[in-house]
Amino acid sequence: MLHNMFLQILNMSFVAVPMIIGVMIFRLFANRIPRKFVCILWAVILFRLLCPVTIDSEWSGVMEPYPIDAPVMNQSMTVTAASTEPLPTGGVLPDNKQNPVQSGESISAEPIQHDWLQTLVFVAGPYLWVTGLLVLAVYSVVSMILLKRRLTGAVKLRDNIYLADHLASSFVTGVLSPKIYISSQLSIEERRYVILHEQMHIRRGDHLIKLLAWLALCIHWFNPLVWGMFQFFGDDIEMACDEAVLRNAAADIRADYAGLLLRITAGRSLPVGTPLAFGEGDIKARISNIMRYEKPTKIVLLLAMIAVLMLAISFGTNPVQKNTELLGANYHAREILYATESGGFADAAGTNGGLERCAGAYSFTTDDYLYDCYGAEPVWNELGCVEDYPLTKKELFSYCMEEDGWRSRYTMGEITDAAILRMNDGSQKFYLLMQTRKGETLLGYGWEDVNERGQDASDDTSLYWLIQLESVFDPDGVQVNYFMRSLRHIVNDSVDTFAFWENSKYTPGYLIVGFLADGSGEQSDMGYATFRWVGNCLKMLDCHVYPDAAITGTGIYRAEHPAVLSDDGTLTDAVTYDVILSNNDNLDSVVRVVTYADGSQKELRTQAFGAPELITFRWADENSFIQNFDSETRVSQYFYDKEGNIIPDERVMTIHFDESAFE
Amino acid sequence: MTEYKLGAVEMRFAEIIWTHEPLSSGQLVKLCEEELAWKKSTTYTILRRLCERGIFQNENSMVTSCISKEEFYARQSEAFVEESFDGSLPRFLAAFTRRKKLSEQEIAALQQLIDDNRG
Repeated sequence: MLHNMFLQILNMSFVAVPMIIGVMIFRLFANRIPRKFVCILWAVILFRLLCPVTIDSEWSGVMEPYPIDAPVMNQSMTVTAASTEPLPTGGVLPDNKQNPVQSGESISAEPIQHDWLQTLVFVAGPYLWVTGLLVLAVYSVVSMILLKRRLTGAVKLRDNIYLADHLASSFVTGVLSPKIYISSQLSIEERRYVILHEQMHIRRGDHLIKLLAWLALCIHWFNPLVWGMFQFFGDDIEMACDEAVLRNAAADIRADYAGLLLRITAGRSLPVGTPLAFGEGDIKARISNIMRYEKPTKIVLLLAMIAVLMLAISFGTNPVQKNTELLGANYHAREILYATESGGFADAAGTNGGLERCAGAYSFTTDDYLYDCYGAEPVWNELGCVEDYPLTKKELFSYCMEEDGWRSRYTMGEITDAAILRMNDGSQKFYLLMQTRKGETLLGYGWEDVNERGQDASDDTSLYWLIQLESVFDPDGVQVNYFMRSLRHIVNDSVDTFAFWENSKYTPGYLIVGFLADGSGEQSDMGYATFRWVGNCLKMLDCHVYPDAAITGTGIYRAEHPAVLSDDGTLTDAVTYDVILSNNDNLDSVVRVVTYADGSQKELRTQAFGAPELITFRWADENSFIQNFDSETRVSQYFYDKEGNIIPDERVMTIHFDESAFE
Repeated sequence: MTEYKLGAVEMRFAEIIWTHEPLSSGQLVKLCEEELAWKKSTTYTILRRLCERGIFQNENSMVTSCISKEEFYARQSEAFVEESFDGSLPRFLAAFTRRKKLSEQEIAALQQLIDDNRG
């Protein structure tokens, strides 16, 4: 647990590094804009340093991948030598799934050497970190006690303002009921501005922010940039507070105010590290800032607000995680990442030549079958059904043994989903299909050392090539053959798909595809399946098969339970779709008549274009119909042939809606 | 010497003693409660500190001064010592966080900046 906490802190710390540098640069050029905007940026970083829970957004500028990962422990220690086990997955800390904060990492394509330094950091690191944390915690308490002792004898001036002897600077202390302590040596005139300043700190909540900043410093004490941030944040808080005082002042008090600041601090060395109280900060910068101060114009304020808002969102949130689930799609190779020069590659290529196979097309069906297609006369070959396979990026890299096999320096996302296909032909060849956190789909092909499966030390398992795949699905046009491949394993036969229905207006993200098994029209099954677009891939949600439906040649079918999908792709019981499947050559149109409780009627007509035919109704989008639906509403359905006669069908329905279906 | 440097609040406390001495510590607690809103423990803490500095003495619950008010003021003006708020910082932290004193030139430059603006 300590280990994981340390890793999390380490990652939070590293994520903050570029941000801190960014704000340090930003504040150099921030002379014209109010300091409070710089403070807002610091506060966002502070939030990132302290809060392990993060928010995702499309506008995140947080660099991914994150840099820190634990080294691979000696796998032979943690994996039992059972030959039936799959390749070792244990012993790797941390498991990314258990540690969602550590969302990705940067490892170049070359396998990383885990040297003694890294091991030292990860073995001794957590204990060192806790020790430092404790030291600073003890120091905080001790310095607080010493401060309290020094304040003994402070005399109340008024409200929450106290005069105390032997103070070099005034400050605010306390959390819930903050008190202002000012030096008893100040003249009454001097007190006025000092109190104005300290009261402004309390109004702005600076005393709490400062406390949180100190907490962050205690936690991230090993990060020098956090020390720098604490220092600069403190200065910026002081300057923002000065600006607030000047802004609220009735007259131009800049010269008096700055003069006081100079007078009470001149000639003294200023301790600013007192954690839970305020020092004066950087006096030189403060005085310059005060003298430069002008009430900001609206346009400056607006621009600054926009810039800071953008930066804050960019810093404060993590990149939206791309779809990381392996889903069905047609793919072609986008880039060869790794390919061995050895015989393995030639072997992998078979008789069809080396790179040609890499550059071919692949299809991964929603029911987990992998196909490939390459060569001069492309034919889709079924390679087999893949199975889930836990795999880390490190393990993947350990299969890439040839240093010079990498085609480019490539930064890969953490593997979130992987599947393996072991060929049944005794060749010990296998395919690895992987999805990464960055949304990449990768395919690897290699040879598995079956006899030494699970034995890390002497594992000769290696990849011949690794390619990045690119989905070739076009949301506007679907390759029908993909559905054929996706559905054939369910119907246990080859299928023809027909009249797949896609209407972006009514079903954004959904596809409904009808299919006819075997395509013979005799003794075959009909059905339809619904698919959902997830990113560039399709996920099959639902499949209805009507056995032998095509035999009669005249049948009209509708789903017993309409295919119903909620927005997140899960099936629900709410009535959303009705699907009508027809194998009747005479069917010309389908009419639905909705009769409301008050006796009024509305009609919905859909034209059929032949057989087989797939007709869908999506009630949820037919607002004019659905608005007045209640439990008294009846829907009658009629089928007409080309001459306008009703086709009698005992399955013609009357739908009784209950209100719960439309909540 | 540092012993003869008192803060403004301590001065008010000292004035009470000089005005009323000799007085019992119980009386002093009462006076301090009225004039400074101090608790009993605060009065004793400050009294102990000033006794340690050799300005007052507290024998048999009787508080008296070791040096007179006039003598004290005379000595104080000779020994101006910079007030500071440190000592609670460990040396390594202080070294990291402490800023340099403003130099004479820097002070002059800043004063110039302020004066220019004032004009």
